Amino acid sequence: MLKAYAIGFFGAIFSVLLVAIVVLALQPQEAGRGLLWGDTVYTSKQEFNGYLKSKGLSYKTWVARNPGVAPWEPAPAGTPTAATGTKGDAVESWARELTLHTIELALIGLWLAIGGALLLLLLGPRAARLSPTPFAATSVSGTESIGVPSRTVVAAARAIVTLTLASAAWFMSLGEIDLAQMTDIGLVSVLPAATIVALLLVALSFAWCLTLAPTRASLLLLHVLVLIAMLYGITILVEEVPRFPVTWRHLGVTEYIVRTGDVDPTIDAYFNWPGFFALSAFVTELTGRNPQVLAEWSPILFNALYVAPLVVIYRTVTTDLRLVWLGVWIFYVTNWIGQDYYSPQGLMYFLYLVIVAITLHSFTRSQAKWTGSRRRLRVFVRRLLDPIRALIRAKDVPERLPQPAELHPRQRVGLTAITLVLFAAIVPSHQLTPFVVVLVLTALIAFGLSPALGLPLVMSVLIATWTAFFASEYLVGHLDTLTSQVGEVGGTVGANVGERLHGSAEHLVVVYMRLFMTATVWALAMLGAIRAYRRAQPRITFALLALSPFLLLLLQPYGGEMLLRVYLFVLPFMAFFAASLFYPQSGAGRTWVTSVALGLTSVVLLVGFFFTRYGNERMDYFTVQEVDAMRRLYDVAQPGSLLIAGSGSLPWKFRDYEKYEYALALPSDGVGPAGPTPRAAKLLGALKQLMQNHPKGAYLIITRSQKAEAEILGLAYPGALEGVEQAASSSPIFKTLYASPQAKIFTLATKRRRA
Amino acid sequence: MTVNPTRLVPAAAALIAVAATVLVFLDVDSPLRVALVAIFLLVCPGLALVRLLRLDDPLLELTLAVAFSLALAGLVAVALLYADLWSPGAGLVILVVITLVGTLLESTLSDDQPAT
Repeated sequence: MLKAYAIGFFGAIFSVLLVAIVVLALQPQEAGRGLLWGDTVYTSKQEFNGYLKSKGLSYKTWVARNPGVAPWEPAPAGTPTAATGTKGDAVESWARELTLHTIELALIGLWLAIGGALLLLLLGPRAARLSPTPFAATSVSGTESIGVPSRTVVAAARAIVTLTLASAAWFMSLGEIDLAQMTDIGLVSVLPAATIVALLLVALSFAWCLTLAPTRASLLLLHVLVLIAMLYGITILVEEVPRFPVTWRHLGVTEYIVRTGDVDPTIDAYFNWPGFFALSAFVTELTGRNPQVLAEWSPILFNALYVAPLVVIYRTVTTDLRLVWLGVWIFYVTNWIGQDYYSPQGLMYFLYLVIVAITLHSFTRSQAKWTGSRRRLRVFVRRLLDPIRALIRAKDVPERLPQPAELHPRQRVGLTAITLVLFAAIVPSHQLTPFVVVLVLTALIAFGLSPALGLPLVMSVLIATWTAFFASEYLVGHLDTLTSQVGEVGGTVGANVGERLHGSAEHLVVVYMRLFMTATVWALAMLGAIRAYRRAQPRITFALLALSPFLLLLLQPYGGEMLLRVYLFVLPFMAFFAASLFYPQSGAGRTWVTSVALGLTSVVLLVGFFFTRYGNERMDYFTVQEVDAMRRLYDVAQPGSLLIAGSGSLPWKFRDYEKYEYALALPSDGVGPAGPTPRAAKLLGALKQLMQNHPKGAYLIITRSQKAEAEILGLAYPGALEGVEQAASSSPIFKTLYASPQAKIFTLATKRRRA
Repeated sequence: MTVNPTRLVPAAAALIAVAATVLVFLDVDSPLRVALVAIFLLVCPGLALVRLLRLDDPLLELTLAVAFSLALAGLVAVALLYADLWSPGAGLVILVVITLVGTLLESTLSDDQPAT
């Protein structure tokens, strides 16, 4: 007991030290390879040569006089390699190198120490098993103080040390990631092996913790939190600024509200459902911080929020904690949809989960009568499948189901009020989520599982009210598109799947991977549901929640995204059914076969996660340079100017949202190129025409991420945007307003023609 | 006489509400302000009201508290925006008042009786 605590304590101190050292070591260092001469740093020979020439000096003579000073020249013998302009600098940089070596040595020492601690722990439980008291392991009160660590404490310490090691390895491996080397297969192409090993370590540790009896929910929660940090935090630590162009557009809407304290519904749809942005502006003003920080951390924040309602939901159908937490785990390794960025749907999904949780917890009828009809159904099935009856023989031991909560009438009123307030907050924030809530509640009521008929009625009135009074601007303009597509299932599925099937060869791998992983999760869920059903666990509420959102496909293609959204809305229940493949009923799944199968499944899903979630990362991430280019542009561009980008993947619209007009040379509306893209010169000619015809200023922005998008999605022939960029650089009609390796901005050099 | 530790929760919520308000109105630029405002907006107004229900399930209580707080903050922000009264300070005061009223009601209740 004492030993385990001591090891846990020192392990914690080590981990804190480790993290501190890693953070210090990862601090950005100024470019050490430059040459300091005079007051300027020169990074290349050419650059310095130019300077010397301007002073009338020759580079050769300079090198002869100052041997070993220039970092790009091979160092002559006897000179410290890191020497720069002055002696003081040389000493300083040498000292820094020494510190780095010390840190490396310290790190190795810490690793050894932690490894030793881990070894001790591995020996620990054996000692416990050998102890003469057979009941020591069950930690009957009083036996703990004998001095032999109880099994649960040892297990906890072991899991915590494993997690610490994995986190440290994961954190340190991130330094090796070079985003510039990424290929069209996404983040996976630049992940160091250590990152993946660290994740697998967490997955195996989680699978091992599930075998503990009694189940330690706190340990499982810890694993889930580490998993969330690793899966959803990786881009926050590796990338310089928030990912996704749409994140920046959302920042622009928030900026509009902060700046004007108003909403103008004529601008676009965001200003007809501005709830999330109003909240975001509210937070911005109260904290006094740039909302970019919030945008950066949204994926972690939102995913962390989802944990609690998921557990509440799962507990309504099972008392088996392993099943609950395995379901949560599977949810997070398969939530690759990426709707958890700084967006209305990311936050509204949390409220959706909470409303479902309240309904299942407090507004459901007992599921007992479903067990009866389940029997009738099985008799029917058994007659049909008589020849293979032996195979489907069910072990009929109904689990004691958690009963619907018995509520005081006042509690019922209070919970109804809370549900309606949550819903009222969703309605002005997002178009789709309210419909999903009404749909799933109606499904539960229609099947006699919930008596709360009033809820969907009041909710429908709320939706209608908002749409009629506050979103009418949008509705009037888009009524045709909204209604004409109702019932076009072919079009919906085609838009969802078919149209995403083009792009570079590596991108197609990602696309097929997404289809494959979707099919895998749903197949696992189906098998799990069947297995649980055979063990007399019908879980009819979850089946309804997992299936009813598919009805949305009948209504709207939602810009070709509906299938993805449906995947997200049914994911909690699919994940739960997938988990019940391993634990069909409490007490089942205690063999090593289950553990191995579970571990393997976890690994497959984890690997798939990185392909599916971060498959387009090359075009989804941005750099400081790209954002800086846009900032400079907004500083100089007159309101009313036309801003043209090569393709849609760039961080823009984050400022003065309503003041500019925007256009794309190669639109990526999911339809692909309409015909063969014209040659670069011709494309530039068309852009020039567009810019000249614009009464106010016009600008052409070409950035790294746009070129990446054009290549990945196959928007044009390879190198089209590079061609446009070169043609504009050399054309006398254009002048370069801003140039950095990753972003160039052009405007017209000549006076534009008056229209 | 011993104090039931869970009875301190609403007091803590009220304290955070007041501290956050002071920091915001003095316009203190500090990480403490960010932390307090974040905790307040995420938990306090909802917790003060949800506790009146005496749900006897800490996880459900916390889940509802966070969701309810976010929803209230969102609704207050939207209401101010559409009423042409946009003022983050006023929004904060409304949420603080909700928190304090909830806390006061709570103190008048016995430990296991749901409120009206």
